[in-house]
Amino acid sequence: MPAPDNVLGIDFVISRGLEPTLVNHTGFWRFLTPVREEKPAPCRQDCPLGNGIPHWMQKLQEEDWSGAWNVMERYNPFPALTGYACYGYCQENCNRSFYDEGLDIRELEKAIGLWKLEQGKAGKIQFRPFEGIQPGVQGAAKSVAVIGSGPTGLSAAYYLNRLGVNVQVFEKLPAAGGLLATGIPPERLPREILQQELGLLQQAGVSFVTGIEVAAGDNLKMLTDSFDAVLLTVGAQKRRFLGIPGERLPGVYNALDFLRNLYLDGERGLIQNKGRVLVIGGGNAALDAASALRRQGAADVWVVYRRGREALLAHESEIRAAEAAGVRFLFHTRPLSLYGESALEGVRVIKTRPSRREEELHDLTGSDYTLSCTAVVLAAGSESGLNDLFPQNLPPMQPGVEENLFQILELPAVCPERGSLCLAAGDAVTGPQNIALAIAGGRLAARHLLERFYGKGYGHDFFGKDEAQILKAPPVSYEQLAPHYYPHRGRSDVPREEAARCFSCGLCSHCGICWFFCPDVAVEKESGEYEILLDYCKGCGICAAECPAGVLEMKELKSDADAVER
Amino acid sequence: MKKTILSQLELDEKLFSGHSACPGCAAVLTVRHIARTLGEDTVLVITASCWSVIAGAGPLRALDISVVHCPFPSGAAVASGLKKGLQRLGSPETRVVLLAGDGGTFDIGLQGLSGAAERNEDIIFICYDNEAYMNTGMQRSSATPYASYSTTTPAPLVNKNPKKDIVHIMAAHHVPYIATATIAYPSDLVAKIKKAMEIRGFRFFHIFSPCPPGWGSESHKSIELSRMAVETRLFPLMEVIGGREVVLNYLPEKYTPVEDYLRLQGRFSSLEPGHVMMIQENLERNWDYLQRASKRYRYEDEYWS
Ligand SMILES: Cc1cc2nc3c(=O)[nH]c(=O)nc-3n(C[C@H](O)[C@H](O)[C@H](O)COP(=O)(O)OP(=O)(O)OC[C@H]3O[C@@H](n4cnc5c(N)ncnc54)[C@H](O)[C@@H]3O)c2cc1C
Ligand SMILES: Cc1ncc(C[n+]2csc(CCOP(=O)(O)OP(=O)(O)O)c2C)c(N)n1
Ligand code: SF4
Ligand code: SF4
Repeated sequence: MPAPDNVLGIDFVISRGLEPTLVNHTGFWRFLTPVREEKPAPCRQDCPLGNGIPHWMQKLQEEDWSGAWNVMERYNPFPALTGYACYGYCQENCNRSFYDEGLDIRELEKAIGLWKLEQGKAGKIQFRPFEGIQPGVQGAAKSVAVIGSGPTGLSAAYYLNRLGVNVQVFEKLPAAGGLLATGIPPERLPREILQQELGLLQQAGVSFVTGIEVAAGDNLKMLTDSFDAVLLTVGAQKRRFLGIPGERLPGVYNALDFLRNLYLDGERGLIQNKGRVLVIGGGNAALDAASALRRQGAADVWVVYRRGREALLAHESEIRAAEAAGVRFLFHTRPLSLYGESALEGVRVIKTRPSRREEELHDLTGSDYTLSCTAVVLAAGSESGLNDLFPQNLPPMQPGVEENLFQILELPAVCPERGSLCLAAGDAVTGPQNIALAIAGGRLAARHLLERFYGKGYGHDFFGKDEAQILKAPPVSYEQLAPHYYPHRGRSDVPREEAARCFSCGLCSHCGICWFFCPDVAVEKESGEYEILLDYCKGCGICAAECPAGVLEMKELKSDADAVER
Repeated sequence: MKKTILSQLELDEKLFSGHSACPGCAAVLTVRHIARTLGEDTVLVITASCWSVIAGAGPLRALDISVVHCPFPSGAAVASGLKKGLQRLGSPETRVVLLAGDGGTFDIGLQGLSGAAERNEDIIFICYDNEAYMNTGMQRSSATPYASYSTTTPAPLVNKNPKKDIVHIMAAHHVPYIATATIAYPSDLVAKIKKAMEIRGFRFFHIFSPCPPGWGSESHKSIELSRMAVETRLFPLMEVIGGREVVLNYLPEKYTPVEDYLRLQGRFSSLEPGHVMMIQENLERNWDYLQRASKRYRYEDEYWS
């Protein structure tokens, strides 16, 4: 029927070709094939616990807080703790810093942590058991005794409990939390945050026994008899001495003891000291003790360190905090002896030749002199609590599983009779480290125990399968990204906006750029997976060049099947 | 960032896989998105060019909209006639869009183009500029840039003429709307097509379109080259409204040196330092001129956020 205003009264038809060109399988032109492969982001690789940062960033971009928490939980069950107190290793090499400004990852992590605490308090999120796991299906419900309630123990307890194991935590001090309660300054980690985390753990079913010191021998045997496994997360707080005269004089304190007494009991004896206090050492215990002394009112506090500022072991943020608190520094100086009649009167010190941390230290002969003081705080490092627990002979250790830096030890000889398990993890194994690595150690120990209880692969539904494998690859470099799709923009205080600045390095963000720029319409978008249609892909490589996340790479493959495998 | 691309997701695909464009062809990618934006009620007139081949020798079709193939110089005339015919036959809303290469625009199609523009025919003329007669083997056109190799200007002589300024030729016709665009700035491209669809009368698009085999560039660099052409200011993104009002749409934050762009292409392999300097100076002069000529700058935030 001609249209009414069709004055000529004839139909006008423009024919189209009959057959779409879909019959041409142009895929055979191709000699390079785009392959999508998850790669580690630099933030993720720098994070001691391998946090899947881009994974939860994607959720935050959509303001999906519960999604973000569900992802976070698999890596780090205590994002509020790390959000406040972690040193933020993840932020050091963020690819966005080459573009405008690196992401404030830790602040976002903290936001997720605070969200979790709030929801947890209101009973709106579940911590036990994980829906995918039926407790006890593979046998009777298992039980684990965790010795030590620092971040390592708390992390292991969280995961074991979450996946259906009964957990009891034993702590020798009257309060739980390990160095979170007794070492890290409350200015960095507010104690009510720690209390809330502990409260949620208890609410979820983890039981705590405080004020009980577990000793080797019968004591430990009793535990191995009544639990399916014992996990030693006793930290590395055993006092170490310098081995010089006078270390036991009254007026000589240990840094960790001082901090613990201050934070747990409000013990202020040392602070009221009116004279000069020398803190000997250069690690975080030394710097935090010195800062605490100054902040609480001590008049004259010096850190005496045998090397220069650049060689200090404490984190830069702690050094700055100490400087801001008015701590003074005496570098390239080493104590020879502490002296005094009935109590400490001073320290004989000697100057050392400037050297780097890994170099041998040399004294400057004849440069020794006397420093008078009324107190000395020793922070000369500390040793694994395992040495305390097994003072004569540490039972032979077998390196357990080792994933990157996360280490755990198996201690088979502790209880050979029942074949029950004894593991160690955290600072106790690695020496003094940091909260993030401690959490990773706890997680690894939990995974290891779960697999020992229920068989290989148990927990994969929860933790994901190839996480450790992914971290072994080299991180995605800035050059592999195509950042120009992001407007230049500095940091934002709004979590959604800040998360939207994340390049999603190494993780497909489902942005659709590959689909948009394919001249051959060979990327399908309907499924949302942006799969490459190999029948038509001519291998031009535009998708790989333009993928903002750097997850597409052109590869020479033997067959299409190779591409599909991945 | 998501918005930039995903706002265009809703449109139907009008290009089929299996077409015969070379790997990495920017012209086919550009037309893919132009066709999605134009939609069903469109007749596409294609003059002799690579696109004649891409659109499919019957019985195959690469495009899911109506296509009329026409002889090389007659594109503008065929499109004008079709539009008039459709109006008379009761389909005045049907858009007639002409797709021509640079040969079919700058050289062979120029008289027809000028006539249609002068008559202010109600058509959209889209020139995809791959800077030579590519379909027949890279012969020089008046769109071929200075110092570029082509099969008719072989090394070491290369092309000694500067590229014709088609935008100003069209501006001199005082047509309602002229725009430049390139696929590296997809939101800009799509927004301009949408804008042109709202305007009546003659509308002209000059689209920068890298051609990997012709330019001797790697196929995956087509988008990057498009982007660099804009970031160097060699190809400014602009509009001319009514032939008078010049609008620069995008002011690069940082200018990329043109040498970075030239070095990625085999057709400039016999370039001498003097050539590079001249090209750089020339584009800067042109940019200065445009900045002075443009009444306003516009950096439309919605294109980029
Ligand atoms: C002063 C200081 C400040 C620090 N600041 C930071 C910081 O800001 N950020 C950061 O990331 N890291 C910091 N660290 C490092 C971090 O605190 C530790 O790496 C981390 O706490 C180690 O965790 P863990 O669970 O392995 O051991 P710990 O936290 O040491 O916990 C071990 C627990 O086991 C208990 N225990 C030991 N033996 C027994 C026993 N026989 N029976 C029962 N219980 C026992 C202990 O009482 C203790 O509570 C700091 C360390 C210090 C010393
Ligand atoms: C009158 C006429 N002369 C020559 C040709 C041969 N021919 C077909 S396509 C083409 C080149 C077209 O070049 P251009 O317009 O730049 O488009 P491109 O191929 O570069 O896309 C030529 C010369 C023809 N079809 N008609
Ligand atoms: S841009 Fe995102 S994924 Fe990439 S390093 Fe920074 S935080 Fe990590
Ligand atoms: S371009 Fe976007 S959708 Fe495609 S693979 Fe890369 S991140 Fe995923």
